[in-house]
Amino acid sequence: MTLGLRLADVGVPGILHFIYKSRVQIQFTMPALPPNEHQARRVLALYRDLHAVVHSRKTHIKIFHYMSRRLSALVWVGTGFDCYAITEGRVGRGILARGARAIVRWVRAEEARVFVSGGVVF
Amino acid sequence: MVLKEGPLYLVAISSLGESESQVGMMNDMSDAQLRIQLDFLYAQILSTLTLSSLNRAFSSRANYDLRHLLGGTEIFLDALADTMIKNDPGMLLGALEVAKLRKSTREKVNNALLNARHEDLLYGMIVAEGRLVSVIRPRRHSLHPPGIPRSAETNIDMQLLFSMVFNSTSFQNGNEHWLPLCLPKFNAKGFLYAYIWAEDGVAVILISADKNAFFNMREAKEKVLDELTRNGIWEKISSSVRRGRYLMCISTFFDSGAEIS
Repeated sequence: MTLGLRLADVGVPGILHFIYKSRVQIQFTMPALPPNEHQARRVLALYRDLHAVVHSRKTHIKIFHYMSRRLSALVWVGTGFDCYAITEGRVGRGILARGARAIVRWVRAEEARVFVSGGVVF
Repeated sequence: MVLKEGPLYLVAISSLGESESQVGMMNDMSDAQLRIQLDFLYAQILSTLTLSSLNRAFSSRANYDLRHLLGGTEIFLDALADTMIKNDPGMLLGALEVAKLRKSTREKVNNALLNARHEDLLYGMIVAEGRLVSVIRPRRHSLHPPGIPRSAETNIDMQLLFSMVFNSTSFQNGNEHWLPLCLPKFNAKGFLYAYIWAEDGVAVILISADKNAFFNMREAKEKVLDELTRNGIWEKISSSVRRGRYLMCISTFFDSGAEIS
Protein backbone atom coordinates (compact mmCIF):
# COMPACT_ATOMS: atom_id res chain seq x y z
CA MET A 1 0.00 0.00 0.00
CA THR A 2 1.24 3.44 -0.82
CA LEU A 3 -0.10 5.35 2.15
CA GLY A 4 3.32 5.55 3.73
CA LEU A 5 4.75 7.60 0.85
CA ARG A 6 7.02 10.29 2.19
CA LEU A 7 6.63 13.68 0.67
CA ALA A 8 10.37 14.26 0.74
CA ASP A 9 10.51 11.93 -2.26
CA VAL A 10 8.63 14.58 -4.16
CA GLY A 11 11.08 17.31 -3.40
CA VAL A 12 9.14 19.79 -1.29
CA PRO A 13 11.70 20.51 1.38
CA GLY A 14 10.55 22.50 4.34
CA ILE A 15 6.84 22.26 3.77
CA LEU A 16 5.23 21.43 7.09
CA HIS A 17 1.80 20.57 5.73
CA PHE A 18 -0.38 21.19 2.71
CA ILE A 19 -3.92 20.84 1.45
CA TYR A 20 -4.72 20.45 -2.24
CA LYS A 21 -8.39 20.75 -3.13
CA SER A 22 -9.67 19.85 -6.57
CA ARG A 23 -12.54 22.23 -7.21
CA VAL A 24 -13.59 20.04 -10.13
CA GLN A 25 -13.95 16.82 -8.14
CA ILE A 26 -14.85 18.61 -4.89
CA GLN A 27 -12.27 16.42 -3.16
CA PHE A 28 -9.06 17.19 -1.34
CA THR A 29 -5.91 15.46 -0.25
CA MET A 30 -3.48 16.17 2.56
CA PRO A 31 -0.76 14.34 4.47
CA ALA A 32 -0.72 13.47 8.15
CA LEU A 33 -0.84 16.48 10.47
CA PRO A 34 2.30 17.39 12.46
CA PRO A 35 2.67 14.97 15.37
CA ASN A 36 2.87 17.85 17.85
CA GLU A 37 -0.74 18.48 18.88
CA HIS A 38 -0.29 22.21 19.49
CA GLN A 39 1.32 22.70 16.14
CA ALA A 40 -1.40 20.64 14.47
CA ARG A 41 -4.06 22.87 16.04
CA ARG A 42 -2.23 25.98 14.89
CA VAL A 43 -1.99 24.57 11.37
CA LEU A 44 -5.73 23.84 11.23
CA ALA A 45 -6.61 27.26 12.63
CA LEU A 46 -4.34 28.83 10.02
CA TYR A 47 -6.14 26.99 7.21
CA ARG A 48 -9.40 28.40 8.53
CA ASP A 49 -8.06 31.95 8.40
CA LEU A 50 -6.40 31.49 5.00
CA HIS A 51 -9.62 30.06 3.59
CA ALA A 52 -11.49 33.11 4.83
CA VAL A 53 -9.09 35.41 2.99
CA VAL A 54 -9.39 33.81 -0.42
CA HIS A 55 -13.13 33.25 -0.18
CA SER A 56 -14.05 36.68 0.98
CA ARG A 57 -16.77 38.09 -1.21
CA LYS A 58 -15.06 41.45 -1.23
CA THR A 59 -11.92 40.45 -3.05
CA HIS A 60 -10.78 37.91 -5.61
CA ILE A 61 -7.38 37.01 -4.27
CA LYS A 62 -5.58 34.35 -6.29
CA ILE A 63 -2.31 34.18 -4.40
CA PHE A 64 -1.92 35.05 -0.75
CA HIS A 65 1.27 34.98 1.26
CA TYR A 66 1.19 34.91 5.04
CA MET A 67 4.20 35.23 7.31
CA SER A 68 4.57 35.14 11.07
CA ARG A 69 7.13 34.09 13.65
CA ARG A 70 5.76 30.56 13.95
CA LEU A 71 4.21 29.72 10.61
CA SER A 72 4.22 31.01 7.07
CA ALA A 73 1.87 30.03 4.31
CA LEU A 74 0.90 30.44 0.69
CA VAL A 75 -2.55 29.99 -0.77
CA TRP A 76 -2.76 29.56 -4.51
CA VAL A 77 -6.15 29.62 -6.20
CA GLY A 78 -5.32 27.99 -9.52
CA THR A 79 -7.34 26.68 -12.44
CA GLY A 80 -9.54 23.98 -10.97
CA PHE A 81 -7.69 23.76 -7.66
CA ASP A 82 -6.86 25.49 -4.39
CA CYS A 83 -3.45 24.77 -2.89
CA TYR A 84 -2.51 25.70 0.67
CA ALA A 85 1.11 25.23 1.80
CA ILE A 86 2.39 25.86 5.32
CA THR A 87 5.96 26.05 6.60
CA GLU A 88 7.58 26.67 9.94
CA GLY A 89 9.07 30.04 10.73
CA ARG A 90 9.19 33.19 8.66
CA VAL A 91 9.50 32.14 5.04
CA GLY A 92 9.42 34.34 1.97
CA ARG A 93 6.92 34.16 -0.81
CA GLY A 94 9.36 32.87 -3.43
CA ILE A 95 10.32 29.80 -1.45
CA LEU A 96 6.72 29.03 -0.57
CA ALA A 97 5.70 29.47 -4.20
CA ARG A 98 8.33 26.91 -5.21
CA GLY A 99 6.96 24.54 -2.59
CA ALA A 100 3.39 25.06 -3.77
CA ARG A 101 4.37 24.40 -7.38
CA ALA A 102 6.09 21.19 -6.33
CA ILE A 103 2.97 20.13 -4.45
CA VAL A 104 0.76 20.79 -7.46
CA ARG A 105 3.15 18.81 -9.67
CA TRP A 106 3.13 15.94 -7.21
CA VAL A 107 -0.66 15.86 -6.96
CA ARG A 108 -1.00 15.94 -10.74
CA ALA A 109 1.34 12.98 -10.97
CA GLU A 110 -0.59 11.13 -8.27
CA GLU A 111 -4.00 12.27 -9.42
CA ALA A 112 -5.40 8.79 -10.02
CA ARG A 113 -4.35 7.75 -6.51
CA VAL A 114 -5.54 10.73 -4.52
CA PHE A 115 -8.84 11.50 -6.19
CA VAL A 116 -11.87 9.46 -7.14
CA SER A 117 -13.01 10.53 -10.57
CA GLY A 118 -16.75 10.89 -10.05
CA GLY A 119 -17.21 7.33 -8.87
CA VAL A 120 -17.69 4.14 -10.82
CA VAL A 121 -21.01 3.92 -12.64
CA PHE A 122 -23.40 1.08 -13.25
CA MET B 1 -24.62 35.80 11.80
CA VAL B 2 -28.21 34.79 11.25
CA LEU B 3 -29.42 32.55 8.45
CA LYS B 4 -33.09 32.17 7.68
CA GLU B 5 -34.15 28.94 5.96
CA GLY B 6 -37.90 28.54 5.69
CA PRO B 7 -39.27 28.50 9.23
CA LEU B 8 -35.85 28.22 10.86
CA TYR B 9 -33.48 30.92 12.05
CA LEU B 10 -29.95 29.59 12.42
CA VAL B 11 -27.71 31.73 14.57
CA ALA B 12 -23.95 31.51 14.77
CA ILE B 13 -22.04 33.43 17.39
CA SER B 14 -18.30 33.44 17.03
CA SER B 15 -16.02 34.46 19.83
CA LEU B 16 -12.97 34.42 17.61
CA GLY B 17 -12.12 38.10 17.49
CA GLU B 18 -9.19 39.83 15.81
CA SER B 19 -6.83 39.12 18.67
CA GLU B 20 -7.36 35.38 18.34
CA SER B 21 -7.34 35.22 14.58
CA GLN B 22 -3.81 34.34 13.59
CA VAL B 23 -3.98 36.21 10.38
CA GLY B 24 -5.51 39.34 11.89
CA MET B 25 -8.00 39.68 9.11
CA MET B 26 -11.07 41.85 9.19
CA ASN B 27 -13.82 40.04 11.04
CA ASP B 28 -16.26 40.11 8.19
CA MET B 29 -13.99 37.88 6.13
CA SER B 30 -15.04 34.98 8.30
CA ASP B 31 -18.72 35.65 7.67
CA ALA B 32 -18.56 33.30 4.71
CA GLN B 33 -17.29 30.53 6.96
CA LEU B 34 -19.94 31.05 9.59
CA ARG B 35 -22.42 30.96 6.76
CA ILE B 36 -21.04 27.63 5.50
CA GLN B 37 -21.20 26.21 9.01
CA LEU B 38 -24.83 27.21 9.33
CA ASP B 39 -25.49 25.64 5.93
CA PHE B 40 -24.08 22.38 7.23
CA LEU B 41 -26.14 22.46 10.40
CA TYR B 42 -29.28 23.23 8.45
CA ALA B 43 -28.47 20.38 6.07
CA GLN B 44 -27.95 18.07 9.05
CA ILE B 45 -31.39 18.99 10.38
CA LEU B 46 -32.90 18.38 6.96
CA SER B 47 -31.03 15.12 6.81
CA THR B 48 -33.06 13.91 9.75
CA LEU B 49 -36.36 15.47 8.88
CA THR B 50 -36.72 16.33 5.18
CA LEU B 51 -37.93 19.69 4.06
CA SER B 52 -41.56 18.59 3.90
CA SER B 53 -41.84 17.56 7.52
CA LEU B 54 -39.91 20.65 8.60
CA ASN B 55 -42.35 22.97 6.85
CA ARG B 56 -45.28 20.92 8.06
CA ALA B 57 -44.17 21.17 11.67
CA PHE B 58 -44.03 24.94 11.55
CA SER B 59 -47.00 25.61 9.32
CA SER B 60 -49.51 25.05 12.08
CA ARG B 61 -47.45 26.37 15.01
CA ALA B 62 -44.88 29.09 14.55
CA ASN B 63 -43.28 28.37 17.91
CA TYR B 64 -42.96 24.61 17.44
CA ASP B 65 -40.12 23.02 19.38
CA LEU B 66 -38.09 21.16 16.80
CA ARG B 67 -36.43 18.99 19.39
CA HIS B 68 -39.52 16.79 19.45
CA LEU B 69 -38.87 15.69 15.90
CA LEU B 70 -35.11 15.58 16.07
CA GLY B 71 -35.30 12.78 18.61
CA GLY B 72 -31.94 11.31 19.46
CA THR B 73 -30.12 12.82 16.53
CA GLU B 74 -28.75 15.81 18.44
CA ILE B 75 -25.60 13.76 18.86
CA PHE B 76 -24.99 14.17 15.13
CA LEU B 77 -25.55 17.91 15.34
CA ASP B 78 -23.14 18.01 18.29
CA ALA B 79 -20.59 15.92 16.44
CA LEU B 80 -20.90 18.18 13.42
CA ALA B 81 -20.52 21.34 15.48
CA ASP B 82 -17.56 19.79 17.25
CA THR B 83 -15.67 19.05 14.05
CA MET B 84 -16.28 22.59 12.85
CA ILE B 85 -14.88 24.02 16.06
CA LYS B 86 -11.82 21.88 15.58
CA ASN B 87 -11.37 23.38 12.12
CA ASP B 88 -11.88 20.14 10.28
CA PRO B 89 -10.53 20.75 6.75
CA GLY B 90 -13.29 18.74 5.09
CA MET B 91 -15.93 20.96 6.64
CA LEU B 92 -13.93 24.07 5.86
CA LEU B 93 -13.48 23.19 2.20
CA GLY B 94 -16.85 21.47 1.79
CA ALA B 95 -14.99 18.68 0.05
CA LEU B 96 -14.42 14.98 0.57
CA GLU B 97 -11.07 13.59 1.55
CA VAL B 98 -10.05 10.60 -0.50
CA ALA B 99 -7.90 7.74 0.77
CA LYS B 100 -4.68 7.53 -1.19
CA LEU B 101 -4.58 4.14 -2.88
CA ARG B 102 -2.86 2.42 -5.73
CA LYS B 103 -5.08 2.42 -8.80
CA SER B 104 -5.16 -1.39 -8.85
CA THR B 105 -6.24 -1.53 -5.21
CA ARG B 106 -9.08 0.94 -5.71
CA GLU B 107 -10.18 -0.92 -8.82
CA LYS B 108 -10.45 -4.15 -6.83
CA VAL B 109 -12.64 -2.38 -4.28
CA ASN B 110 -14.74 -0.86 -7.07
CA ASN B 111 -15.20 -4.30 -8.62
CA ALA B 112 -16.18 -5.87 -5.30
CA LEU B 113 -18.90 -3.24 -4.90
CA LEU B 114 -20.07 -3.67 -8.49
CA ASN B 115 -20.15 -7.45 -8.21
CA ALA B 116 -22.09 -7.32 -4.97
CA ARG B 117 -24.56 -4.72 -6.18
CA HIS B 118 -28.26 -5.36 -5.83
CA GLU B 119 -30.76 -3.53 -8.01
CA ASP B 120 -32.09 -1.74 -4.92
CA LEU B 121 -28.72 -0.07 -4.44
CA LEU B 122 -28.50 3.63 -5.21
CA TYR B 123 -25.04 4.51 -3.88
CA GLY B 124 -22.48 2.07 -2.52
CA MET B 125 -19.32 3.15 -0.82
CA ILE B 126 -16.46 2.13 1.38
CA VAL B 127 -15.01 4.80 3.63
CA ALA B 128 -11.95 4.46 5.87
CA GLU B 129 -11.60 6.90 8.78
CA GLY B 130 -13.59 9.56 6.98
CA ARG B 131 -11.61 9.13 3.74
CA LEU B 132 -13.38 7.80 0.68
CA VAL B 133 -12.01 4.53 -0.63
CA SER B 134 -14.52 3.73 -3.34
CA VAL B 135 -17.99 4.76 -4.50
CA ILE B 136 -20.32 3.32 -7.13
CA ARG B 137 -23.42 5.07 -8.43
CA PRO B 138 -26.02 4.88 -11.17
CA ARG B 139 -24.96 6.54 -14.39
CA ARG B 140 -27.69 9.11 -14.23
CA HIS B 141 -26.94 10.31 -10.68
CA SER B 142 -23.88 12.46 -10.21
CA LEU B 143 -21.73 12.22 -7.11
CA HIS B 144 -22.40 15.83 -6.27
CA PRO B 145 -25.88 16.76 -7.41
CA PRO B 146 -26.20 20.36 -8.54
CA GLY B 147 -27.49 22.50 -5.74
CA ILE B 148 -28.38 26.11 -5.23
CA PRO B 149 -25.50 28.37 -6.29
CA ARG B 150 -23.91 28.94 -2.89
CA SER B 151 -23.41 25.22 -2.41
CA ALA B 152 -22.29 24.56 -5.95
CA GLU B 153 -18.76 23.87 -4.79
CA THR B 154 -19.47 21.79 -1.73
CA ASN B 155 -20.23 18.17 -1.13
CA ILE B 156 -22.55 18.54 1.83
CA ASP B 157 -24.51 15.30 1.46
CA MET B 158 -21.48 13.06 1.68
CA GLN B 159 -19.86 15.24 4.34
CA LEU B 160 -22.86 14.82 6.61
CA LEU B 161 -22.93 11.11 6.08
CA PHE B 162 -19.23 10.73 6.82
CA SER B 163 -19.51 13.03 9.84
CA MET B 164 -22.34 10.95 11.23
CA VAL B 165 -20.47 7.70 10.76
CA PHE B 166 -17.02 8.79 11.90
CA ASN B 167 -17.48 11.69 14.30
CA SER B 168 -19.87 9.94 16.62
CA THR B 169 -19.39 6.57 18.21
CA SER B 170 -22.82 5.27 17.25
CA PHE B 171 -21.63 3.27 14.28
CA GLN B 172 -18.13 2.13 15.06
CA ASN B 173 -19.06 -1.11 16.73
CA GLY B 174 -19.31 -3.79 14.08
CA ASN B 175 -23.13 -3.78 14.26
CA GLU B 176 -25.40 -3.30 11.30
CA HIS B 177 -27.48 -0.15 11.07
CA TRP B 178 -30.42 0.73 8.86
CA LEU B 179 -31.64 4.26 9.04
CA PRO B 180 -33.68 6.78 7.13
CA LEU B 181 -31.64 9.64 5.86
CA CYS B 182 -32.38 12.70 3.86
CA LEU B 183 -29.58 13.81 1.55
CA PRO B 184 -30.62 17.44 1.20
CA LYS B 185 -28.79 18.20 -2.02
CA PHE B 186 -29.96 14.95 -3.64
CA ASN B 187 -33.58 15.42 -2.67
CA ALA B 188 -34.57 17.62 0.22
CA LYS B 189 -38.12 16.34 0.24
CA GLY B 190 -37.68 12.63 0.64
CA PHE B 191 -35.86 9.97 2.58
CA LEU B 192 -33.32 7.46 1.45
CA TYR B 193 -32.21 4.54 3.57
CA ALA B 194 -28.65 3.82 4.58
CA TYR B 195 -27.20 0.47 5.52
CA ILE B 196 -24.12 1.17 7.62
CA TRP B 197 -21.64 -1.31 8.96
CA ALA B 198 -18.23 -0.32 10.29
CA GLU B 199 -15.37 -2.15 11.92
CA ASP B 200 -11.90 -0.90 12.87
CA GLY B 201 -12.51 2.44 11.24
CA VAL B 202 -13.60 1.06 7.86
CA ALA B 203 -17.26 1.48 6.90
CA VAL B 204 -19.44 -0.05 4.23
CA ILE B 205 -22.30 2.34 3.42
CA LEU B 206 -25.05 1.21 1.08
CA ILE B 207 -27.87 3.57 0.20
CA SER B 208 -31.23 2.58 -1.19
CA ALA B 209 -34.44 4.38 -2.03
CA ASP B 210 -36.40 1.36 -0.83
CA LYS B 211 -37.13 1.21 2.89
CA ASN B 212 -37.56 -2.54 2.71
CA ALA B 213 -34.15 -3.17 1.19
CA PHE B 214 -32.29 -3.96 4.42
CA PHE B 215 -31.81 -7.67 3.76
CA ASN B 216 -30.69 -7.06 0.20
CA MET B 217 -28.21 -4.46 1.42
CA ARG B 218 -26.95 -6.78 4.11
CA GLU B 219 -26.38 -9.50 1.55
CA ALA B 220 -24.54 -7.03 -0.68
CA LYS B 221 -22.28 -6.09 2.22
CA GLU B 222 -21.56 -9.75 2.92
CA LYS B 223 -20.58 -10.26 -0.71
CA VAL B 224 -18.31 -7.21 -0.73
CA LEU B 225 -16.61 -8.25 2.49
CA ASP B 226 -16.25 -11.79 1.21
CA GLU B 227 -14.54 -10.76 -2.02
CA LEU B 228 -12.26 -8.21 -0.35
CA THR B 229 -11.27 -10.65 2.38
CA ARG B 230 -10.47 -13.35 -0.12
CA ASN B 231 -8.27 -11.11 -2.25
CA GLY B 232 -6.56 -9.56 0.78
CA ILE B 233 -7.67 -6.03 -0.01
CA TRP B 234 -9.77 -5.62 3.15
CA GLU B 235 -6.72 -6.31 5.28
CA LYS B 236 -4.70 -3.83 3.21
CA ILE B 237 -7.27 -1.14 3.81
CA SER B 238 -7.52 -1.90 7.54
CA SER B 239 -3.78 -1.76 7.99
CA SER B 240 -3.52 1.50 6.07
CA VAL B 241 -6.17 2.95 8.37
CA ARG B 242 -4.02 1.94 11.30
CA ARG B 243 -1.05 3.69 9.67
CA GLY B 244 -3.02 6.87 9.10
CA ARG B 245 -2.62 9.44 6.38
CA TYR B 246 0.44 9.50 4.15
CA LEU B 247 3.42 11.05 5.83
CA MET B 248 5.17 14.29 5.22
CA CYS B 249 8.86 14.30 5.83
CA ILE B 250 9.90 17.51 7.55
CA SER B 251 13.31 18.52 6.38
CA THR B 252 15.05 21.79 6.92
CA PHE B 253 15.64 24.55 4.44
CA PHE B 254 19.38 24.31 4.80
CA ASP B 255 19.47 21.32 2.46
CA SER B 256 18.30 23.38 -0.45
CA GLY B 257 20.44 26.35 0.50
CA ALA B 258 17.41 28.58 0.82
CA GLU B 259 17.40 31.49 3.17
CA ILE B 260 14.89 32.16 5.83
CA SER B 261 14.28 35.88 6.11
